[in-house]
Amino acid sequence: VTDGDAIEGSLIDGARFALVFDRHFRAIHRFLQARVGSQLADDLASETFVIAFRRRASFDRARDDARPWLHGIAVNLLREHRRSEDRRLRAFTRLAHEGPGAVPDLEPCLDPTVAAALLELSLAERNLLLLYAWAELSYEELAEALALPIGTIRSRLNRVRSKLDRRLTGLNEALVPRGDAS
Amino acid sequence: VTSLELLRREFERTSAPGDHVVHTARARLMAEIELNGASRHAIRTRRPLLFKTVVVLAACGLVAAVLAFVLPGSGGLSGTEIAAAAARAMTPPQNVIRHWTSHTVLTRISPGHRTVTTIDTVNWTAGDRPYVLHERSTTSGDLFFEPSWAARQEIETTACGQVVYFPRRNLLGFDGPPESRDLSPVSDPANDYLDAYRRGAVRYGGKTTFREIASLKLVVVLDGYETTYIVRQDDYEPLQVVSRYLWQSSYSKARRNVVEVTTYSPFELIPRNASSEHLLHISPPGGVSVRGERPDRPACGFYGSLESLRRASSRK
Repeated sequence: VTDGDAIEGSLIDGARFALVFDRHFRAIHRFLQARVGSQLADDLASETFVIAFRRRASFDRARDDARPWLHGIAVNLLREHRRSEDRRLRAFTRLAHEGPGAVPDLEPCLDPTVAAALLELSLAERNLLLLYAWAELSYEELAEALALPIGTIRSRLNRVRSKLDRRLTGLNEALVPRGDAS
Repeated sequence: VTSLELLRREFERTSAPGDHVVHTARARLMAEIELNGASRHAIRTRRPLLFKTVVVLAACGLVAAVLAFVLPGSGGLSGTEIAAAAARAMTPPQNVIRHWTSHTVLTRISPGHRTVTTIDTVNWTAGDRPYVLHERSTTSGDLFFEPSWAARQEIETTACGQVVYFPRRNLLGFDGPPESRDLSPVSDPANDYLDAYRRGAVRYGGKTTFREIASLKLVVVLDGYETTYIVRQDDYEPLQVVSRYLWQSSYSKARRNVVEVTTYSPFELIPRNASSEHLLHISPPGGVSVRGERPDRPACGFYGSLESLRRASSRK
């Protein structure tokens, strides 16, 4: 049974949507957790599936895989939490200078240089890059998730990757603690 | 190490959610499904989506609802109270088959082009489980890419899917061609209303008169549809439903505004028991041809099998 079949079936018998949840909840949660931390991810991942259920009639049932659609809903929810994500990324960048004790409650996740590089990307760039790198969506799936033409996805992703490369190179040098420079 | 590899390594540190997180989220989803899961509205929205409808009507019901609900209503009731009273009145009684006829005029309008389809339908529906909607319809006017023999059809919808019967061809299809479902826009107005009410999308639209009957207007803006229910003021039974939406063909960039006006006969309530159950089911005559296969749904047992249909027929 494909996701399309399950979602089509859920139009008549809503309980069939549970199959979509069972298949994809963990992946959606993990993606959100890496973006905003586990506490907010719990709420947002749950909200993603409630919204998906309410909008299930809009899913293109010719598609076998609901992952891009679900990630699209998830990143839309993230828009309202950009400040939380930025705060979290800034906290990670502080680790480079102040050490792990500086932010005791922070879950172990991002390297300070990566966090700093992500912080400098726009939300749209970050969504595109992380859906590609973390959710491992293909170009076609990115186009579906972000409702953009595939050509736009290709060119934007190239630009963002180049930007990230440049940032990481520069930041790597800048963020190395002075004591380690020698 | 490329920047992409670096990013992916970082992501690998993120753990999967614990069982309690999954359990809590699943419970929340199941509550939502329990509330809105088996709604006729959801079935209805399949029609434009078969053509990859692009929904453009803005769902701005909240502001309108706030305004409407402070307006004075009928008999001293507020708009909120009227919407709730209508929901109570439309909740299907237990062990009853609701029977009614309806006449739908469906107008599709695009620049320089206008088509009209009319559909006359006889309906029987069981409002409590197992939920069944049995509709027998005749379509005339623009058949919308359908062959003429498909203008008459009978559909049985249950939680297990749809069986469609075309009497002019003595042909039975499981699920039926999508276009056929598109030709069957008549749905249960009470269930549609209840679904919208549960989702908080109903606002009171004021008093009106319909064919000299004192009536009320209840307006729903939901999922790209703007629907006005005209209900009797005394018992909230639906008299007419006007629905407006926009669809876009998947085959071209053509868009059309659609206006669907359905007028209903009074509801007749029939006790649901062994002798009336056949009203809820298709009962094809002998020699019926079968197109396609019954979808494989183990939980549905022999639902939709020829055997089950003949059994229903033999009880008639």
